[in-house]
Amino acid sequence: MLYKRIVIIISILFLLLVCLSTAYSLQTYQSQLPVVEVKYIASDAICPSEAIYEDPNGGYYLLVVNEQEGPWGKEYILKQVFVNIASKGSFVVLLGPPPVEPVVLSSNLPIDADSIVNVSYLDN
Amino acid sequence: MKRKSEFVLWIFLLPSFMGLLIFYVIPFLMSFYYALIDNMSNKSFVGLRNFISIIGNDVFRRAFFNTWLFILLSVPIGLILSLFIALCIDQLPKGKRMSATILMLPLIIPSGTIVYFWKVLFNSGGLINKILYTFGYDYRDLGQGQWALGVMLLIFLWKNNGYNVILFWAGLMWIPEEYYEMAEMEGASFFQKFRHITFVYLTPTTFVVILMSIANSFKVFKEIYLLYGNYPTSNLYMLQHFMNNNFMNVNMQNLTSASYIMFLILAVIIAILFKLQRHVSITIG
Amino acid sequence: MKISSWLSTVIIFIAAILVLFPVIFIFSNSFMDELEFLERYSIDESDSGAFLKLSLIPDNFTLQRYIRLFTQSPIYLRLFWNSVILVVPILLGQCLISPLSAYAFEFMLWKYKEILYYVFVVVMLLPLQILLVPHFIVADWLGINGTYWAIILPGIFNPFGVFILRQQLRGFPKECIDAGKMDGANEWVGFRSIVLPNMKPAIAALCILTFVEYWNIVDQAIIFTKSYFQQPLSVYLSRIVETDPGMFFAVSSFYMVPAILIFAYGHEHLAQGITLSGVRN
Repeated sequence: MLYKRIVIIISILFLLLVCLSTAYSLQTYQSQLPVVEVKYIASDAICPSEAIYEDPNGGYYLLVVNEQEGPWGKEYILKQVFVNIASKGSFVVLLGPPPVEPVVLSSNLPIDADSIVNVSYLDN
Repeated sequence: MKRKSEFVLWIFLLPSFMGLLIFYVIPFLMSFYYALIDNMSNKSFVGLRNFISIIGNDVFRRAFFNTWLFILLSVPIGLILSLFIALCIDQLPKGKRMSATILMLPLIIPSGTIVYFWKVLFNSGGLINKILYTFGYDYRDLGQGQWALGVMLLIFLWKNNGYNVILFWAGLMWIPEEYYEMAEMEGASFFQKFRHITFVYLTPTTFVVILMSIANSFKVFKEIYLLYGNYPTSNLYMLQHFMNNNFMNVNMQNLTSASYIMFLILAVIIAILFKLQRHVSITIG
Repeated sequence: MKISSWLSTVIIFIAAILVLFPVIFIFSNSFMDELEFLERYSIDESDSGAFLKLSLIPDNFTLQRYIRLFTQSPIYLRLFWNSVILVVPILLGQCLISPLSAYAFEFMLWKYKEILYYVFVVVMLLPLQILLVPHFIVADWLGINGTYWAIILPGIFNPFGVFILRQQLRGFPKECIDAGKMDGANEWVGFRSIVLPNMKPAIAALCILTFVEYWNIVDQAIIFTKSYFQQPLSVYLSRIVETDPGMFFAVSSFYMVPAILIFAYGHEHLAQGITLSGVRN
């Protein structure tokens, strides 16, 4: 009988441990994600130059935010979208239709294609 | 009074019965319908054409052959091994319950957790190969090639032996001591005692062991999938691989006709076993 | 007969070691850190004569893996909860539905009840492969394909539960119930107060067997889940070997613990349940 009680106690402790660590790791995981500032590009296809990245093999690309299913529900992932640009100054004009998804302007941690991020929207 | 209680009992039975119908029986019959049509868009009746074409399908044949080969190997070997161990447990002076308990352990260990151990044991750099190498044999990845089935057999035996041992041990315990004592008094040797008492009175248990072993041997797919994915080496390609892959291709026709062929064969085997068991019980009885 | 019992002891001892070895292996390797893991398990295949250094005792005992598992890798925890979400409803459903049906089967007076019971038994014996297609068809038809319900609902109605419980009830003295009825109790009270308390061990056995079956689930989980994050941990464990092999041992041990705890709590019931499944008419 005693032995069964011990098993029950261990089981409850185990369950507690898992619950606590789930809560904890959820939180830290979220807080460790890079936060990116994003902006939608209007149909006039003008976007700030910080949004343009240069590919070492030539060409320019934007990083856009896609939604996808992650372990904890929706998460945001960055994807590369290659573009042709017209002028290069403090503002850049894109040739062709701009991407539908919001574009990454800046981030507090290093990011790259396929990074998981948290998003904050900039107005205008 | 009797009517009313019968009715209440029927209500008790209802959830299970409805569940069985909805989730098992009716869909099973419906799948027969799928086996009789040509494909999902046309839905034109083609009779037994699907069955005939699947029998000619090389992949199906391979899977079919592998599955039944495995059953034919694993059931007898498992039977003999577990009977032997159950007999040993019976002879133990003490610690019988504990041994049985320990042997039950592999049953509850999730397959996925042990998988890496098997991989590590049997692959090219693994322990078994190390032993073989020191004896001068060439090493190779035991998971591919001709020994793959043997590897799976070992894994199957490790996992399911405990189940059979418990069954046999319980069966052994049911045989009254007096039979053995009477045989001793008549001067029977060990083998005579075994053949005439143990073996005979263990027959019903043996049937159950065979039945459950067959049911369990299909479950070895778990280990094969976890080790080798959807397309293992051709020796290990089992019927369920065939069916899973046809799922991916949404080839319902192959799926359902394969299921029905297996079902028919299994039904025949189970029926034969039941008949045999009844026949043998009457002979003993 | 001393020789045979000595010999048996040796054989059983060897068998016990063989049985326990993989489990101990997994547990002990979970205490190895990254360096040791690499040293032991990454070998160049073309290097002839090089073999993995398997051992049961880690050189550097470390809790590093477990710390990582519990604080930095939410995915394993999430999949663990997936398994739990899968298993708990099935257990609850089985415990609610199967005792009623077992009672009904045993005490019904219908002529054809054994034939119906036979259908239950046959369905129970069918291997999963054959049942997958029907499950898929039903899930499709009910529109629950791709959700856990496609696994949970067939699990709740798995005839195994009815079978195990009814085996326990065979030979239950009907007089008890008749006596109760004469005192004015109806069928429901007969069930609840008389039979149910006696079924408790068998229900425990049922729970343990069902838990083990669905904690270990692989086949249905592959078919009915859409993404890797929906899979129960039982399936994902094989992927961990590719994505993060070092963590495998810790995650495996973690996943094994509930199973072992339940086994420790109820192994006599488990043995009894297995034995019951062997008793026929």
